[in-house]
Amino acid sequence: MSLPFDLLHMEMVRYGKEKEAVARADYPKEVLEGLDKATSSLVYKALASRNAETNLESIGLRTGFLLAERLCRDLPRISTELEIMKFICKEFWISVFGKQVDNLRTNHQGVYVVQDNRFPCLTSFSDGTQYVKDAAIYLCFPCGVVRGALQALGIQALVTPTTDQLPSVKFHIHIKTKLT
Amino acid sequence: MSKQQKPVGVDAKKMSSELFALTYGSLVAEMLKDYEDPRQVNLQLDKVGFNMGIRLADDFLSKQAGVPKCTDCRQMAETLSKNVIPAYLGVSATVNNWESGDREFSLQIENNPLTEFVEVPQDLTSLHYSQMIAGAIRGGLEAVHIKVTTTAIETPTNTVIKVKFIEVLKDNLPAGED
Repeated sequence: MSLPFDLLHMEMVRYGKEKEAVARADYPKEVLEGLDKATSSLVYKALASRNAETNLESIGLRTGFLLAERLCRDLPRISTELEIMKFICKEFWISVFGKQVDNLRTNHQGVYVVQDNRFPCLTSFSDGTQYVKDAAIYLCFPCGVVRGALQALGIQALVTPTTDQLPSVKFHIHIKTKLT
Repeated sequence: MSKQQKPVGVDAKKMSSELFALTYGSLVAEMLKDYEDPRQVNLQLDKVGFNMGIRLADDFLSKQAGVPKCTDCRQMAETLSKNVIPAYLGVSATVNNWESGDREFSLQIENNPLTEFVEVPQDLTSLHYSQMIAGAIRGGLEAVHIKVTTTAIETPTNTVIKVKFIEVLKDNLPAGED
């Protein structure tokens, strides 16, 4: 991944965080104050459409959709779910993240786990476990990209990242419904 | 799909510029959703560019050791158009329209990769789509102590960045430390 992209990604994260801070400032405080912890966390979840993660994911979704459309324009039709997953892990991953994934596993019931041991969006963090929490927000955009690409190929899925040691990351892809 | 099928269009360098252009486009679209006024979006894009420019200046100076020190606006414009823009946008730029005694000039960027997939709707004429590039130039120059103002103007064929030189910034010591 080239340098300007990393910088753009950093700026997107900053923009998302700033916007979230602004949105938080006009949450109805008087309403939230009187509530117990469980209820107020529910209210926060209801307001989550304005948080940084959602914002980044939706930018990624759009990008992934467009990238996948451009990439498979000249390819023959990819029909099965497994073929689509292979396409995502190979051609798509190479063209977007500059390398192949290191591992793809599935339970054959609609759950796929994509593992990348050296994920480009995380390489600027120092390796190890210290910054796992801070790195989380840098995975929202890639998640959106993967979900957008799957959507372009006709699969509705839920993509969640997990990482316990930087810079490796696992994307869990739960396939919900196949669009036909 | 046959296994032997050669992946089409997988050219890492080209795709990375596509990734950049599409990501930028999505970011602009998201910003337009967040702010109703395109002029607010211009400000945000300028800020994004500025922050990137500060870092790009470091990167540029560390990689391109042969670039001579600029002593006037003409040299600065030449370095920008011949070295900086090709290095980060992958296309060249031309300098023209010198005004007010060599203090203002325009950089014309042809085949701007950012606008390759973009058609800005008619009702968004006040949006400066490539304002990020203008911001990056401003940020980059500020990192080397040159204060300028920049605007990006989109024409049907190319992107024009107007640069106006303001002053050379001086390192001011904080008060009470002399």
